[in-house]
Parts: sequence; structure tokens; C-alpha cells
Amino acid sequence: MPSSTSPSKSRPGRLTRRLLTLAFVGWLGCAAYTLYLNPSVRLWLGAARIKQAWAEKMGREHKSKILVYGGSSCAFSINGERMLGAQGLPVINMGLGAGFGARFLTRWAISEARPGDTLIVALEPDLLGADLADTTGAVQLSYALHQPGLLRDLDGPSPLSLASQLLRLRPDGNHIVTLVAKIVGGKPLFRYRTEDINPSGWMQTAVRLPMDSPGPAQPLSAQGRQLLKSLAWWCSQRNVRLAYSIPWEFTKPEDEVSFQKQNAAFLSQVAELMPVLKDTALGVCTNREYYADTGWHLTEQGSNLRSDSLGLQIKEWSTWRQRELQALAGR
Amino acid sequence: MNFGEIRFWLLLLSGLGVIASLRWLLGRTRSGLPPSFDRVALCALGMFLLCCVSWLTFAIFMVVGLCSYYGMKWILATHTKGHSYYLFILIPLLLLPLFYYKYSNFVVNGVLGLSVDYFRDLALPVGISFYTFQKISFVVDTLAFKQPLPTLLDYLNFASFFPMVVAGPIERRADLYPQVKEFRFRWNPAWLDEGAPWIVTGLFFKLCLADNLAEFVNRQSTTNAWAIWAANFLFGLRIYYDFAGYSLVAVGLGRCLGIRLTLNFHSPYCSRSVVEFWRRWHITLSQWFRDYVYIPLGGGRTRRWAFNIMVVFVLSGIWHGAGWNFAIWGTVHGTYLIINRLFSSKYTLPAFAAWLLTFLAAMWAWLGFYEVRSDALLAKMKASFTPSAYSLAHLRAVPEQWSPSGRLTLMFFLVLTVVVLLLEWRSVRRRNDPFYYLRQPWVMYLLVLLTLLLSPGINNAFIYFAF
Repeated sequence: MPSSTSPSKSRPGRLTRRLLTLAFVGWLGCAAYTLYLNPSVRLWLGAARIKQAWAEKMGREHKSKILVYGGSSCAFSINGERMLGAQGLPVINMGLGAGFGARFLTRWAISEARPGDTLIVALEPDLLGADLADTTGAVQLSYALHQPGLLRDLDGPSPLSLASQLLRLRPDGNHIVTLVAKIVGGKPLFRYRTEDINPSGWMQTAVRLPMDSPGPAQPLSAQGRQLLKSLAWWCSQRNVRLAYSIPWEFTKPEDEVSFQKQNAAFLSQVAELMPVLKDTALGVCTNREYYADTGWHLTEQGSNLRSDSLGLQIKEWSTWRQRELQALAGR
Repeated sequence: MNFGEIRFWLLLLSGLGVIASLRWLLGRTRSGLPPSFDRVALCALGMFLLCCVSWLTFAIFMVVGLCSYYGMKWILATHTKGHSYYLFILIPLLLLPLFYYKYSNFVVNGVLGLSVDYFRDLALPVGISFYTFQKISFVVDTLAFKQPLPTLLDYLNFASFFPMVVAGPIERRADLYPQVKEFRFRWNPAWLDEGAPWIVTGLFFKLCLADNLAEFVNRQSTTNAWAIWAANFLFGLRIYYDFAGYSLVAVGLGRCLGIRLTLNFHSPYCSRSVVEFWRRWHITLSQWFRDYVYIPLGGGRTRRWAFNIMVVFVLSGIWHGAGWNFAIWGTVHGTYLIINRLFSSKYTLPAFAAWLLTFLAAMWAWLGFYEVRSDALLAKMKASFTPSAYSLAHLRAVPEQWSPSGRLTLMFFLVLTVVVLLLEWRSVRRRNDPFYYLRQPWVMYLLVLLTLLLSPGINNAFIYFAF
């Protein structure tokens, strides 16, 4: 093998300087694209602004407000205007995408919580059953919101260093390839639009797709348990009322009983840390007509039922006893 | 010491910043900069970066390092003849930590079936396989070939030179020791220009190609031969770009500091025989086994040459991991080499057919590398030789493993990989200069942009850190 030399014949150091400059300028371009042009960041940024505006309005007009948060299952299922009109509950739907991760979604929701408010955790069980590391999407949205503090832990600094956060302000291969394919194919750049979001933060879509059941809840992970424990402590320190409400997921009729058992087992773990609102269906819904494009996204009809049911549970503050959940789980 | 993480680069820059400041300060004192300052600083930088990996990694490194050094010193001081015999004591001693952390669980629970849970939870110190072999080679070269013992500082610098300590290349005394002995920290822009292309290419391989391909390796099917081949191809490409990427960054960092490390990968997928493949894949490990196992066993000039080959490749397989699958992987490659030796002089294939056969053979063998479940490994091997497993329905099922957008992304990265392989092929066949075309300035500019745009920022643990 011949001794390899650099092909560069220019002045010493020039190549390295050019590469470093290109890397820096390239990163700046990537960051600018991510914060100002990325269709998914733009949508969720628009959603976040709408939700913040409704939270401000509810805070102004009512003594206390009710924040419900989770992933997109929450965004598509809680109709704040309906709950305000029918039940007099000043509800803000703080749901964003599940891809942001439980840690970020929690920080985001409590950024609007004030003493006397009620916080309803409607996180998808999957988000609490796994590693809770902050996702790239969470970093990008928190910077787009100019709120990098949302990446901090409830009881400490962010697990991601500042440099790691800044390096995540980039697209990735999957994003670039699908974006180019959408542009070439003349398709919309993102499935959902800001116009699909109602003033209270409730989202809807006209898209209808075939779907499978997402599957029953898995046990809480150690990190999921720690997050809920820290949240309960945070709320107790600030006089914020707290409860968990399991999202409704599409379930095939033949799986109804087994999924309910597993969901009850999950809820009994959650009930050790905070009250769990008494949804007697245990988050299981077998009516396909209530779902739009995924087994978590309710249609208007489905979300009306879910909102009415949740409103009633909040008004009556009807919660499960842990013993009841354990019995339902078949222990 | 994960070159794919920003943390490594920040720690390195901090360390270099401290060294530069101390150099400046000491250079202005009356006595001036001590002559050994740079070598002490290099050693301190290596130790600091090892400590940042983990305390266990640092502690085990030091135990093996001090044992080997003082073992050599004692032997040389107390015995004037027969140093080689002491290798039979010193080498097993050096291998003890490796055996304990890497193989005890496999032997106690896997082979002897004793079900001792204690051994299951042992965390492997990063880089132990690499630096243990490097230290053994130093000990052998020093004692068997009667080389003088270096100072402890120079020996530690040889063993702990930070670009290569955790994942190679496994350097030899004759190559690295003379360089670290004369090491000086110098700001030399020409060195930076020489190192930067290797670093850019290495990071592109790792962050852009390997990390993206990793997301598509699906190892589930044991009956669909097409899916098994797809997993083999993707894994084969991923592990190459992962490990070669790391090695290229190591070479680049070395050159930035004026140290020439051995190139560990020289476009192995351009090989036209398995013999050539092993001259291009993990070159320093192959050379280690050749010089310290194969040749001492008698090499290829004895009647039991086939046995010697098989011993080397089974050991090489087990070096990669403690499991039957790694032994099978080594056995498969050993068999390839024996077949190659038996038939290569009688039959000559056209260049393209020879390349294709070598490529397919290497890809098939990866099955033994990644499939750690013995029953699944045997089922997959069987399926790959079963004609009915190659049905049209199975072929149609392969793309269904990925989402529509995933398929599109995979296609893109496969095309990109083919382009890179073609550039490697041109570098090898036209110029015999490793990665020549990838190190052209305009290509490097493109690689920087592609890495920024396409790197997923996840899956970025190096596979070989597990060895």
C-alpha cells in the first residue's frame, strides 16, 4: 500500500479552515431551516402558540384552569371548547406529538400551570414504559419556541449538554428524503395543518387510513415512574391538582378483555403515584368509526364522547382505588 | 471515547487547550519547557480521556499496562537468557482481565451450564480486547526479539495513544513506539490538512452511512431467505462503515498530531478473494494473528496448514465476542480460506465473478456475527440453503418490513452506499491509494454537508466498543 498523502496542494491549513468554516456555516443553515422552515416544527410551533393563547385566555377569564396533556392522542381527543360550553370547564388541550417524548411534554404542560390549576396527565402508556430520553423533535421545538428551559428535568438540569442540543437543530436522512419525495410528488409537506387546530388546542384531520390496534399498556419503566413521582412532588409544592387519565385507543373486539386487564395493571402502578380518573372502559374503545388515521386519533364523534366522559370525571373527581385496579388486573 | 459524540471533541479540545496553556506558561519560565513535557502531557491526555469513558476502563487499562511493564522489567533485570519462556507466564496473566470480563459468563454459564448469575452482569471495559492484544504484542516483541525496555512513560504513551486505545488499530512496537518516543505537540497546519480528510471521511462513514443503515437492519425472519440476505447485506454494510469510520477518524487524529497510525480498513468489499478480503478488513488484527499465532504454529508451509488456518480464524471469531456464533463466523471464514487455497491455483475466475463471489461469501458469513441466538442462527443458515425459502411471496414480503417512507430512505442510502463503494473501488484499482477519491477537497466539502444533513444523531454507539 503506498503511503497516503493528502490530495490537497494548497497553502497549509487552508483546507482545514475551509472544512471547519463549511461545517459551521452548514450547521447554521441547518439550524435556520429547522427553526423556520421545517414543516413538522412549523406545525407544532403553530399548535403550541394556539394552546398558549387559549391558556392565557382561560387564565384571564377563570379563577383556575384545567390543563390536559399527552401526545397526539390527547391533541385529537380533548375538545376544550365543548367542555367549556357544555360543562363549564376551562380546559386547555396541551397535547402535542408523542414523538416529543414524555419528559418534554410534561415540562411543556407545566409551563402553563399556576397554583390552583388542575393538571391531567393523558400521556400514552407507551411513553411511560420506555427510555424517556429527550428526542430530537423536543429539542427542535423547544428552541423554536425560544424556551430551551423545556429540556430541563423537573428536578435538575437537562440530561443533554448545550452542544448536543445545538447539534440536534438539523434535519436527518429520513426527513430530507421524504421531504424531497413529497416536493417531487406534489404532495403536502405534512399530513396535518395549523388550520386543523381549534382555539382550545383540539386537532382534527380529514385523513382516514386503515389501522391496527396500538396494543395494550406495558408496565411503567423506572424512568416513567421517576417522572410521575417528580411531577406529583412538583404539583404538591405548587398547589396544582393532579390526576392521570388513560387515553382511548382503538382495540379489536376480541382483544377488549385482555387489553383492559393489562391497562388496569398499568393504571394500578400509576395509582401508587397520583390519582387515576375513573374511566370504566380502561382506555379501550372497540368502535372503529371513532378513529381517523391512527388507533390513537379520535374523530369528532369519538372526541366528543371522550371529552364529555373526561369532563364528568373531573367534575365529580371520580378516581380509581388501587385495590379496584388490582382486582381488574386479575391479581 | 466515541468519536461520533460531540462530548469527545469538547473533552479533547479542553485537554489540548490546557496543554497549550501550560506549554505557553512553562515556556516563559527561566528553566523553560521541560524536555519530557510533551510526552507527559500526551500520556495525561490519554488517561484523562480514558477516565472520561469510565473509571473501570481506566483502572483495568492501568492494571494490564503496569503488569505488562513491570513484568517485562523484572524478567529483563533478573534473567539474562531464556526470556521467551517467561512469555508463557506473562501472557496468560495479561489475558486474565480479558477472560474475566469477556469470557467468564460464556464459559461458566454457556459452556459449563452452571447458571451463575454473578457473571451475567459483568460490564465489559471499553477497548479491553484491543489494548490487551497491543500490550501482548509489545511484550512479545520486547522479550522474544530482545528489544530494549522503554521508559514507563513511553510505554504508556504507546499503549494509551488516545485515537486508538479503545478500538484500534492494534499497533505494533516497531510502528508506533519510535513515534511516541519522539512525540512533540506542534501546531502544524500541514498535519491538520493531512488529518482532516481522514476525519471527515470517517465521520461521514459512521454518522451518515452506518447510523442510517442501522435503522433498517431487521433480524427477525428465520424462514425467509430473501429477508435473511437483506439483513446480512445491511448489517455487512453497517458494520463496515461503522468500524472503518472509527478507524479513519483515528488515523486522521493521529496525523493531526504527527503520528502515523496503521490503516485498519482498505476497502475490503472491493476484494476479489477471501484472502484479499482479510488483507483489507481489520488489517491490524489479521496481522496480529498472522504474526503471533499462525506463523508460530507453522504457518502455511506445514502439512497441517489447514488446521493452522482454522485455529487462527476460530480464535479471531472468539476475539470478537464470547458466543458460539462468533466461533461459527470464524469457522466459516476459515473454511473459505482453506477452499480458496485448495482451488485458487487450479481455477481462475473472471474479475467480476471473483469479486461477486467474495462479496456474497463475506455477506453470508455476517449471519454468524450478528445472530447471537443459536437456534435462530441454525434456522437462518438452513433457510439460506433451502430453495423454497426463496419463493416469490417471500421476496415480496421483504420491502414490507419497512414503512413506505422507510423504503424510500433505505433506497436513497443504498444508492449513496453504492456510489461510495464505487469511489473506493476506483481508489483501489486505479491508484491503489486508500479512499483517494473520497479525500479530494470537493468531495470532502460534499461529505461535510451530507453528514450535517443526513446524520440521524441516534444509533451512534460504535459496534466494536462491545468487543
